[in-house]
Amino acid sequence: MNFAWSEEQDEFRASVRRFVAERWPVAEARRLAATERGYEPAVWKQLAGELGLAGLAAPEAHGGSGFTMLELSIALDELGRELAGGPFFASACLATLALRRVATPAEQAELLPALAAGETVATLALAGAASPAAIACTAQGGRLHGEQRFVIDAQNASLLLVAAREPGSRGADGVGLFALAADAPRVRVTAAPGLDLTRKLAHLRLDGAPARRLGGAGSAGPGLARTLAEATIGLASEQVGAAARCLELAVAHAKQRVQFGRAIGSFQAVKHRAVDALTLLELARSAAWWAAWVASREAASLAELEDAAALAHSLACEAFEKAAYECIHLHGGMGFTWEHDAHLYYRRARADRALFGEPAAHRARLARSLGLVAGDSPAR
Amino acid sequence: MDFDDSPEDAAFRAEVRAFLAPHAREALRYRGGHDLAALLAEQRAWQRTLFTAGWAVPGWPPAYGGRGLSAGQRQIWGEELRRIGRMGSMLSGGLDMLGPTLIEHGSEAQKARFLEPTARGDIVWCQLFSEPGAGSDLASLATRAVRDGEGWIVNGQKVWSSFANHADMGFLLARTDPKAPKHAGIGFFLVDMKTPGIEVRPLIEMTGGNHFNEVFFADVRVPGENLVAGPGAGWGLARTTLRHERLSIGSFSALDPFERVARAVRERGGAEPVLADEIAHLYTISKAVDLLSARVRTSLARGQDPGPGALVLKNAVSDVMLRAADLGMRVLGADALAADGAFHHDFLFAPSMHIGGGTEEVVKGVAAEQGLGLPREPDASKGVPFDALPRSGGRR
Repeated sequence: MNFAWSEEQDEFRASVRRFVAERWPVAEARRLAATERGYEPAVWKQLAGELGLAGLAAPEAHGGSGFTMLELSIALDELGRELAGGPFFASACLATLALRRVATPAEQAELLPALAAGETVATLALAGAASPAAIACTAQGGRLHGEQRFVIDAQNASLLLVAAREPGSRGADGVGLFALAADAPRVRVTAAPGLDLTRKLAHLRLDGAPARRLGGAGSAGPGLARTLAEATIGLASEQVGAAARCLELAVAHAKQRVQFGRAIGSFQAVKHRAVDALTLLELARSAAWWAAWVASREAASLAELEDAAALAHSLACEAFEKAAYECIHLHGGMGFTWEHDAHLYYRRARADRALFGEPAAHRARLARSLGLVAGDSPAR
Repeated sequence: MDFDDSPEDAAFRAEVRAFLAPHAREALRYRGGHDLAALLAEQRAWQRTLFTAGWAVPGWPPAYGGRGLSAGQRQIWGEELRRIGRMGSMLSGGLDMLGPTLIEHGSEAQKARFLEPTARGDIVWCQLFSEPGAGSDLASLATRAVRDGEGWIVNGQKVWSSFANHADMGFLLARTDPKAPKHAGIGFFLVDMKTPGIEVRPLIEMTGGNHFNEVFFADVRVPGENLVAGPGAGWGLARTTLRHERLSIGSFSALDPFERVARAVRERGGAEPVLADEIAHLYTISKAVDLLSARVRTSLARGQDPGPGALVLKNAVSDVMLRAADLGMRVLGADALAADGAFHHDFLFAPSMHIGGGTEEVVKGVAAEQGLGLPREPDASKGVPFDALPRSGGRR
């Protein structure tokens, strides 16, 4: 057993951290939050193309670097620290993984290179749904109908991937993945201002929009489930990075803020709050890293992936919400102001919890697979 | 990053498993009512079996009868012991704490005299550190050792000494210089528990069991050759001992308490949704504690600083035990009303988890200062000679 990053992975992390600190610190994320796009195309080009982040999860044959969830999670962790990345999560994580898991080799060869180069921004219209069984759109004769709310970065995407149900199907069967251009007819993308100011969301309305099916007919269910589990594991890493930053900010303040003649960080009551956050963070970080390792093995079963995702995301939610709260609290009144960055993290922490299923839903899944629920047979 | 065994580790695991397989037995869980003398006799016999086969102290260096296992191999050894129901031992004070301390700091004569009989299980050791007036602030201990010719005369009282009523020897912290600041004037002594003047009084804990003891010293003579390192070196040695105590928990899995609760749930055909949610929550924390501890071990094995995660493990494990005890009792439903049940000992033992081995508050303070770099609490005893410090109850 070896629970540590390789030297190459450590170097990769350091290079992403340097780039983010220089070009996309939280102050920049704050400025961009007020813009329509939420990112600076020139910086995205550097991040996606020059640094090669957009192609992390794409195979080398399609212009990517063919890395696993381990490298993807490092990038998300580092971007999460400064609430940076813009469409990275939607395009390089969600959409890229969906194409890898569902599209045919020929379709991947056609679509992935532009994503991997960062030239095309894509997204997957499945966010908000905890499983492919909860899909809002339908497909009929190559045309899509329905509304998917809260699609991540849909206003920035030129390529939309839409999970849609084929007529007469139920559950995970009969779910197809469809691709269409954002400027195709009968597609309406409406920006949806969100609780989280630093992640752009939009509602997607499809009224008979023409789209092409990727992969085989009605066979996208398992691939999409895998995509969701992987993206959830990626999200957990992003949350861990943000939580770590919240704690750093809080601790730095507690070290220099003097009241009653001493740094407030020397008071036990303050220390204990910080250590409570540290404990949840270290547990969540361990789970997120492990889950990324599980997802890095192609041999992992869907059930293993979903259990790992449930573990990592539920713990990451606890850790991030705690750290974001303590970051406000330990900054005192200053932490409650609009000017302070603490609320950006606090908002992100709560919104992340609603993206791919609540922690309680994850635990319900785990309870079933651990044989804790009446009527369910243990899965192990 | 790889959670599977490397080929070398897999080969080592296979070797260990083949050796241990014939010795498998039902895991014995301490429930408070055991006949400790019988338990100790059984554990001594097992230790002799291990000794004969060369597995008595696999973590010690080969020069002292060990195998010099790497941290990773020690972990595998612990996991395999756990598989055959052999974890935790009344011999742990000697095997995991005193032995490694002597190897690091003892004289050649002390090593020659004590290490092999300790490895063989012939000497059972108890720790004589805590006192009624020195708990969280261990360095304020008041038991005195006064030089008398070649030896020392010890007077005072110790408490929370595990299995002292079954021990042959004890490792004792006693104050050798009351004029020095509290950390500086402490000696580390090896004491024969049959020496005249030592009285051991068993403590009955709130579980009804007897794990701990009070140990009284009235003019107890300790030979000079039983002082380890110098007369003022005791505090540093105690830190070594406690560090080894922490390293020795490798065979523990935080998922064990969860598994006991889960088994009880399955036997009852499932839990209602609210309880199932809390037990699943226990699972997530327990699994993460095991993962965190694996991270820490990987760093230690590579000689790297394990970071602040190592400093929060103790409290996290205690929380897991508390939650598991509570959830187990809730799974029992009305059966919890009985005098004894599957989780009664855990429930009664639970309040000690955040006291023993450093209270929750002390552990958090250490994590905040060493892990997060927060400033130390002002310490009123710093640099003050021990005999000028205030004592509990206003005494000096």
